[in-house]
Amino acid sequence: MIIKFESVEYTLGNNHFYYDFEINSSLTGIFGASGAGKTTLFNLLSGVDLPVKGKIKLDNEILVDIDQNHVTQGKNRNIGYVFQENHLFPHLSVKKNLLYSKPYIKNKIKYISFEDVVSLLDINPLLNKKPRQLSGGERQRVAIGRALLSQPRLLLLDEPFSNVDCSKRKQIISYLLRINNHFQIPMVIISHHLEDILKLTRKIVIIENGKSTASGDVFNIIKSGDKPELIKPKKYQNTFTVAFNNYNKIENSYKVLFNKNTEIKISNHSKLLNKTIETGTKIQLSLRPIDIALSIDKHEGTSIQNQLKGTVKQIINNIEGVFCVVDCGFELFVEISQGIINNLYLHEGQEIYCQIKASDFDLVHVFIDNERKEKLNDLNLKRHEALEIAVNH
Amino acid sequence: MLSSEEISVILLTLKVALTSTILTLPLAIWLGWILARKNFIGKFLVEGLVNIPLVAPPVVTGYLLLILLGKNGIIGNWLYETMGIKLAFNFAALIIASVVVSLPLAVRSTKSAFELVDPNYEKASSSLGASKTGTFFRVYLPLAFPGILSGAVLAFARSLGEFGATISFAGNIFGKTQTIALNVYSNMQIPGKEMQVTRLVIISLIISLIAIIASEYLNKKKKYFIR
Repeated sequence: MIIKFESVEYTLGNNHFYYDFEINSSLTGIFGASGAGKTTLFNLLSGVDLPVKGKIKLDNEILVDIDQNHVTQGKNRNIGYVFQENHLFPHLSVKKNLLYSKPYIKNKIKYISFEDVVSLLDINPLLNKKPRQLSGGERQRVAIGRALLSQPRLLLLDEPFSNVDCSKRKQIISYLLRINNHFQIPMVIISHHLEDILKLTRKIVIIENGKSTASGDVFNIIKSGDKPELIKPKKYQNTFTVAFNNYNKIENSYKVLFNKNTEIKISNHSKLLNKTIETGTKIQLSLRPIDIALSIDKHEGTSIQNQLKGTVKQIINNIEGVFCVVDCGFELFVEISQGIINNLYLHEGQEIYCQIKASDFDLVHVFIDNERKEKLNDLNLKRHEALEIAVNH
Repeated sequence: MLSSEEISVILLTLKVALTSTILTLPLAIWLGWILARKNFIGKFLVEGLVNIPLVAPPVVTGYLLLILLGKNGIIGNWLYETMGIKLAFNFAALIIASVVVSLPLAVRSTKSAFELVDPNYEKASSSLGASKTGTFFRVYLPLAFPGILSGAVLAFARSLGEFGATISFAGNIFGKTQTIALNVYSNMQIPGKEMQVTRLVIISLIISLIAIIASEYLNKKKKYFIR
């Protein structure tokens, strides 16, 4: 989905906001410090607030064009909004919260079913509880489910990780990837933690002091010379979607394929993997730049299980550290030091081995959706019908 | 045991309290809602007018009602002349006096109940496709319900004990406008009626106590409910 803000201006008290960007992704991250204007961007996109100038477009549809005096009302934009504080209705049970939008979706094609949402987000045991009886993570899941059941064409999530602890963050990330994959619904996620966003997507919009200062693939932003100060290369996460290959019983490790030629071993810390997983199942991994070591030669007799041959593509040396981009058939962002450059005589175009421990890969999500694969085609069909109807209207 | 006269007075009092509460409630909900959630020119004036009966001597309130709605009053005269409607010194007068004096209490309670509801629920409701009216009935009203109920109990209790405005505007006519408070007042001045006075005072106290306890309970529940 293409989201386009054209010279959009908004004023709230003494604060002035300006957004100008275009991004095309099924998962987009909005990154910025607290109070930078991320939620304001959501409010403008969802129709909670109206800009004073500019144009907002979603794919080919103009939502707001102040010059042409055109405004699509928020409730007609068909955008789901998960608020930072959830705002689950306290007097209603989880089930009634989930079904809140039911009277208002009579004219919409329902491509997201109650049963699917309850099953995907593991809400079933919570259905009869009241929101005050839920933990932060559970509330977040219910809020996401409630927004999904309003059958939106786009889902906005404002700081979905803010009210949950670290372990639950991983869980929420996994749920978001599951939803995005299963319903094929575009999502925009606000966070002030770059690491969290990067586990979901590399496509981001950066907001600083009420302005959008950069947008696009964060890797390209980092590689470019004029990256915003807010983007710290140390916080970058190499994220990959790989395919499960096999389980090695003797080594108790899992092998995954990056591409046809590259197989790597990962260990399973998060218990997301199991031995019965099907070959070819998609897995999302992340890897910190600091967890990759470089060597000139391939080592024998080492405990490091992955040695990937690649070529140094770029060396980035700035105030925040020394980094290099290695092309192994896919690009890896590696944190090194000036000493290493000197010792290894590192230069662009040099052949090198990336040494990665199997345990250093962070398993973000396993896309186990086999049982729902048949449904998916039907779902996509319904979704396309829904979109066609929305466009025709 | 209660005499037929006492039973008749108690029944009339309860009838007045109940009717006036039923009539006060929608008005209190509407006023509480707009005072809590809307900004408009003259808001302070509306709030002041609603609350006047709370601070003004009830007899003054009754007198003002008489001036406005009495047979020779500004509005009352017109109503009588054009439609033959009499609003003073009858059951309607009892109800009007009761509504006017109990309205501020009910409005204060409903207003605070609506103020306690997080306005962000409105955003959430709207993002799920609800209109403003839908949000009011599905979110605000249920969340403010304990506060509204508490306001209703207070209004009921206030009606039960109403004296000043009633005697000025509705009079003290046995079988027609004489409530418990007026009956107690009348019998206090008649020697030998002490027992009847005592019985009605006790009954009046019991009803009031139940109403206050119910109101307090609902107020506590209101805070718990909206968490």
